[in-house]
Amino acid sequence: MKINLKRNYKHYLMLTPFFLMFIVFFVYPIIYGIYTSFYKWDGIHIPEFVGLDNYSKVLNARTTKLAYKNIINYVLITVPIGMIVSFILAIIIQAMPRKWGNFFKSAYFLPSVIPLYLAASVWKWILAADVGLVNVLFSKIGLQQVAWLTDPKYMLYSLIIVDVWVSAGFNMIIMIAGINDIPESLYDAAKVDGANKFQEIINITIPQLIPTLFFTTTWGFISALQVFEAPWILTGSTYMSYGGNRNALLFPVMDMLGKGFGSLKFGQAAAYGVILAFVILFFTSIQFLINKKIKK
Amino acid sequence: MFKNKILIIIVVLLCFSAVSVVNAEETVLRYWTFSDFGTGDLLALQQVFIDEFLKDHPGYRVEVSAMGDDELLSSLTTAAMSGTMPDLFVNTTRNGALFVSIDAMINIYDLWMAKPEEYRANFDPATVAVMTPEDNTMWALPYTGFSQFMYRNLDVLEAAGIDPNEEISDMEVWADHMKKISEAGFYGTYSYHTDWWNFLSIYSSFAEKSDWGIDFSQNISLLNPEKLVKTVEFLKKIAPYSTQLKRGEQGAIDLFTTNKLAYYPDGPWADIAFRKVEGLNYDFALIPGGTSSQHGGVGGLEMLCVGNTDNWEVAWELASYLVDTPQMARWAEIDARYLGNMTAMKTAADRGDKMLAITEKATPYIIYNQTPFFEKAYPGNYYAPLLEYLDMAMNDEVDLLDGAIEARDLMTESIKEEYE
Amino acid sequence: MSFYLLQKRTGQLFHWVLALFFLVIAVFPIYWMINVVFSPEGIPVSLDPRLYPSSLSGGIAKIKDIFFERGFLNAYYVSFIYAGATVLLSITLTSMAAYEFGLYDFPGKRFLFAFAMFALIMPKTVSMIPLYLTVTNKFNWLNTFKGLIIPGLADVFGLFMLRQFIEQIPKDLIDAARVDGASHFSIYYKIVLPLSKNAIFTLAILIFNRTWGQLTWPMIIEQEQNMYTVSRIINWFNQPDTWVTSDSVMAANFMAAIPPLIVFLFFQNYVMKGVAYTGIKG
Repeated sequence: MKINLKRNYKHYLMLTPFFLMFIVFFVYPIIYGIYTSFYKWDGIHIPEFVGLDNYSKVLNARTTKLAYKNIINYVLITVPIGMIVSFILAIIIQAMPRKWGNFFKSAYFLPSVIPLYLAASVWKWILAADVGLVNVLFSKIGLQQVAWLTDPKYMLYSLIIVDVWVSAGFNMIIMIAGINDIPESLYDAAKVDGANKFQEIINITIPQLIPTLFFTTTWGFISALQVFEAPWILTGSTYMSYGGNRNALLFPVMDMLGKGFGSLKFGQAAAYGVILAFVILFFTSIQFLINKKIKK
Repeated sequence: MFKNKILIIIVVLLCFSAVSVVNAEETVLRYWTFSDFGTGDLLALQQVFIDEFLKDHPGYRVEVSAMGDDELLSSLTTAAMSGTMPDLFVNTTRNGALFVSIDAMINIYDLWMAKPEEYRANFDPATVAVMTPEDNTMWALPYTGFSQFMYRNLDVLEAAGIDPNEEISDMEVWADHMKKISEAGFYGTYSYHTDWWNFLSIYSSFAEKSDWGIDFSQNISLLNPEKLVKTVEFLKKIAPYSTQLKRGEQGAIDLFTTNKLAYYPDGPWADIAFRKVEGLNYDFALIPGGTSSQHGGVGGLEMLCVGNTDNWEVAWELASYLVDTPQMARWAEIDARYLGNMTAMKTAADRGDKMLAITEKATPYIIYNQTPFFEKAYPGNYYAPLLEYLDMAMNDEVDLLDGAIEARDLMTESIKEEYE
Repeated sequence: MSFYLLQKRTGQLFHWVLALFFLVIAVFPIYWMINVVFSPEGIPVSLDPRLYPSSLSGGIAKIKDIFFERGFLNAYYVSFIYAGATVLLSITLTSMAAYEFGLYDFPGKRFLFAFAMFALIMPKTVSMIPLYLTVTNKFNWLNTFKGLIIPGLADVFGLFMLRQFIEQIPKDLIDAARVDGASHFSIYYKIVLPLSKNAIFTLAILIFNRTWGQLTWPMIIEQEQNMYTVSRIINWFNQPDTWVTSDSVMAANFMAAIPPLIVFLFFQNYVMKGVAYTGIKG
């Protein structure tokens, strides 16, 4: 062992800075979070051990249920729409002459360059009631105004617009890379059989693209479960009041941060984080297992 | 090559930041305040005060941070938590009990009493009493305050054929006005039902002071369901004539300043933004009441606190300098609202300041935003049941009275959960 | 045959119409933002929409206003330090680790790497609250650059990406250098780093964009105006009671969008390569 260390110390030395940061700012906080979740703590007075009380409080809170209801609705709509749009974009570009394809590819990718919070801030002023471009145009052509950002019926869709607008270009690039990997010979064979473009997409592109589609879906799923910045900006939220009208855009991460920084219930906020981690890890592992099956 | 240049730029920037850190040999006093106090003219004026103060106190530097209301509150609570309180901060008395519970500020009673009698005599005794909830305990210096009134866009009123000199006798008449305004193609007012503070602006027209707040002796909400229903009925009536934007939202301000919206009830801070707009023709009026002898409006008091930090001595000196008469008199010149310093406020009153006059007229009618002050902190999310009820009621999803009673009971429940 | 041709023609027409439709949706909001900013002051352009920028001086006045009256200049400075330092330090850390994982065998290598990769599946937001408590209570780094930058440095994704790349460096090269008497560190510094130039630059751009787009962490850890990042200021502008007009919000949006847009215009291929990489290996 001693000799080993002597020979290998240089390796560990080079790894030290990374792992020091990793442990102090990633591993330790997770353990610390689990520890905190068993205490009632406002961050100021002495923490008081309460066992699983925080967990039952969080699980029974009305806002938690709302937040999870919202996130399920959101994920189930935004991920498929996002995938379909990105796929259509990828197909559009794939079918173009190369020169145009590159131009459109850059243009479609442009929104993905814009940070999410910024996209939300731009769209907020396009969708705003009475002063937003969409509603001003609606009223100019005599349509009923839509309170995109305050009417609970529409708020979720406003968020989805922002989300798809930002992420479609990103997923499109990944899908194009996937499509490019499909062997040309498969298409040639189909052409011999007299398949048209549409049949080609259905019979060759989509089945061949399944691993890529699967990856983008998983990725979209996991990031959608942690959605925070866009709804936060769209609803003009603060730690004291968040989620927008009737909490229609209240999501778990928002609720967690609000519990911590708004009501100073850090124990409950930590418990909230642990629960959310389990939910996300659960979905991730399911998808991981499916992925393994597909690959077989 | 290009990459190297970027690297060099980054390194240079890093060095600068390092230098600015090293330079900080002076003691920094951190001063947190509201957005309207910490930007524009009022910030410039306070910088003048601070510079004057620092002439006699070398070795210090003051850093002012301005934040929106909610943001300031959450920053203060987390700062208290991590032991990084600002040395000086402004807030509203409605959060007083919360600050006391987290040891955010120091008790200034002895410091205050050590000030000469003629200094203390400048301040409104009633406000001083609010800041002094118990014997030998004073939590803050009286700073500013407000009694809500409404801004009226006179161009919109004229275009809609409404005579601004005619007093609006009650809410019915007011609603009729808004109908006319809407028919002329404008918005009557903003939307009230998505924010408790805005809701209170209208609720106060129908309710008494005893219909609002929490009674901590019995841990019950004082909300009055019948009057809540009356408020909702009124809000439903004016909804078609209103914009869906709410007070303080960027778009709502745009609508008022571009002559698209007639009535904008708000505090004195709005005037700072409105009077900067060239050609905006507006005045002040009382918010109408349920009867001709009643009026509405929210009231509040702002306080200047000395943070629980090592610099409290010099912070106290700065605080007491900022609220002293010569400074507050200059404040009153550009922002004539209620001032805890009565002597200073009188200079604006003597000048015949219109906003101060309307503030004084509104004061008997207002309901304070969140009472009682300095007793106990309100439960987090206290107003959620009220807001949910309001939105449901506006969309006809609930029986008005049953829903109102349920909302009140849920609010009471949240108090009991917190304190029993 | 003619039917087939017709079908093909309409198909093509449909294809281009669809392409243009998406083009408008993708680009218009960005164009609209520029349009709102460069319009006369005091008249919110959306109330009287016009589809072209109408006042250069109005735009400059708005930008000046947010820069000098609203603290945006300082936010720019903070954001650049934040992004710049994160790129620099994070790449230093990850490339050193990737060098070890990619080229050498040593006891515990597999375990350590798996340990780090665990972070890839662990949702980041979940550790926000305890991370905040750690950084403020144990280190007292609230409202500092340290608190802003250091917790985000151990970038597991970057480690993974660089290791994949460094693994492909021919072993002969390393051995030859060792025979020449190069030390362990100088092999890293003089051979591996220059050889992975492209991968590092791609990663640098990814990290820059990601850091520039960061809102949650700055929001949690920076409460004082002199430490506001650009994202934080925009969040502030969007809240009620801040007395900013919608025009100023747009001007701020516009200024915040410029750095990532410039990076994209200059280094388009790197940006897209980085994304495609995320997809293939992630």
